[in-house]
Amino acid sequence: MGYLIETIYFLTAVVFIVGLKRMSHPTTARSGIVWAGYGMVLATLFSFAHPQIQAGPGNYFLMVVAIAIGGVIAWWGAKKVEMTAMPQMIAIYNGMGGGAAAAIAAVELLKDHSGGGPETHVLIMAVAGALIGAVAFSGSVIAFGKLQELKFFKDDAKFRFTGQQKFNAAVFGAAIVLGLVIALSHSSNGALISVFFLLALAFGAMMALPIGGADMPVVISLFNAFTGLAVALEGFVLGNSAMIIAGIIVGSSGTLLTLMMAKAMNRSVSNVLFSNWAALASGEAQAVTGSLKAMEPPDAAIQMAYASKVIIVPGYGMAVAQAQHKIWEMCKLLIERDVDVKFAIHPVAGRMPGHMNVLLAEAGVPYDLIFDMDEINEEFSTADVALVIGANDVVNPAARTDKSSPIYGMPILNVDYAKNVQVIKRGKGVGFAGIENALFFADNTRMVYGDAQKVTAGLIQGIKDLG
Amino acid sequence: MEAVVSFFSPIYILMLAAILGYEIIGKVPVILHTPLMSGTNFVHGIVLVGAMVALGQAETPWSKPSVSWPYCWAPVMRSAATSSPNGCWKCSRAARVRRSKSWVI
Repeated sequence: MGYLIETIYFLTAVVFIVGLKRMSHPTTARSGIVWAGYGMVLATLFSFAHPQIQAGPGNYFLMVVAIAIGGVIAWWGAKKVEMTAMPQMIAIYNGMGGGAAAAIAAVELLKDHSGGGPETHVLIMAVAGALIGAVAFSGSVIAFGKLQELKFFKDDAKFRFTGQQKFNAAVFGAAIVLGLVIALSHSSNGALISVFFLLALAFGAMMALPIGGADMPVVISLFNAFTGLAVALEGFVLGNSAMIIAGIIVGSSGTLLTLMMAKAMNRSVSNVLFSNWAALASGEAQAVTGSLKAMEPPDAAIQMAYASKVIIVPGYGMAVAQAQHKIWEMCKLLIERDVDVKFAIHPVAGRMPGHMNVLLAEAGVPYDLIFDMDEINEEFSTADVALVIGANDVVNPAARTDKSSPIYGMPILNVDYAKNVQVIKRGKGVGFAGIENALFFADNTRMVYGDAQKVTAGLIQGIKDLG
Repeated sequence: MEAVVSFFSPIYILMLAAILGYEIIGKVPVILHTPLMSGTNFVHGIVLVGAMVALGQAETPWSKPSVSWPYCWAPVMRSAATSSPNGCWKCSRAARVRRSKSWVI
């Protein structure tokens, strides 16, 4: 039986790798997840016959019940989730994975080790996995709360206090010391282990609390890598190769993804985690001169209809308003009138890397009209109209010039170089980073106020009226 | 000697898997970052297997509530996470390349 199980785990690892490889290309991405799904089903089914499971039918009953409860909740949740809520969902499920790894570690640590338990290095790995998993769990829960925009997490500043980094470091240090004590003394003292877990959970929460919502994608990606690592470490403890391989692949790919995302914001990961963004912003920002000039949708429609080149810059506002279908409808009308239409995507537009691309693809926008920042930034100076839909910080020219601005140095889309700029925006509020946008006050900028979907409907009508 | 080999073989697995993960994800287009995050999320759902083994080893889960709660918790949470491919599926379905030029009216 042991050989059979190990063979199945081996096949699972192969299928996971093939699946991930396929997931990394747009045309094969869907089949990739199906591959990985088969691997998961196979591994789960055969694990019921795992030789280490020696307990009675009561345990099988518990297993089935637990899987059924989790499966139903998740199936229902994933079925209901909107595309805009995808980041939160990934955050919370990711946290669950970290929590599960930590729970396995708790089980291993709480076992009675008096009769020749596992070796010290195994216990150290269990403790390390527990620490990383618990941090990923509590941190992801906080990240979920922030992305869901729960009221409690609305104000990042109230979670900041002086000496916070030192305090967090002290908590983290205490958790490590306690973990080492547990591992080296082969202790299965419940109280000691509980305090260790509480410290680890507290550190995860406190680490995530002061981080601004705009930075959350990077943080979630980091926690994803953490969870992978925790799973791999628990795989060591249980002697389960499938867990080691799957966990560490996720750990390394998650790390790479995190670095790519941080690079897109032109910040280092430690800068994202440990610098208090809002605290920085309290410095004197350059005064924004000029006034906001409003424009009605019919006028905006005329401007675009007679343009020869229009570049559209979508942001989180488009995702919230679910305006992507209407926008594509408008683009088709413009293309009919021989207008050159292109989409420009900033690497951190929305709340996730690739967030905008996914939404546009969902609406049916062809791949070859969508351009990354590097590909299109030169073209703004030749565009007649740049249409900004619910994007803010990623088009703020202050990032280029204003050294006191918290987003200084972040590469931005050169929207302000276009001959005319139209900005569709719900109100006069500031972006996620909480700073005023000089672009909106520029002479060539017109503001089209309203919900993105309604405004776009107005634009479509305006273009149609021209005949 | 055998003990040394058995100590090192998981470390080799770890090293190779880490390089593999890095290489697989290395050249991913931005459009797939969100689905991929969901997908890797799904892959570490393999922890479910570990949770099942851990639960299976419990001797008297009913009589020791303090010990049994993590036993139950782990599979519940993990099967929740395992179902996240649904999200990944949604994303990647949306991200599918539409190569046909039929959109040009």
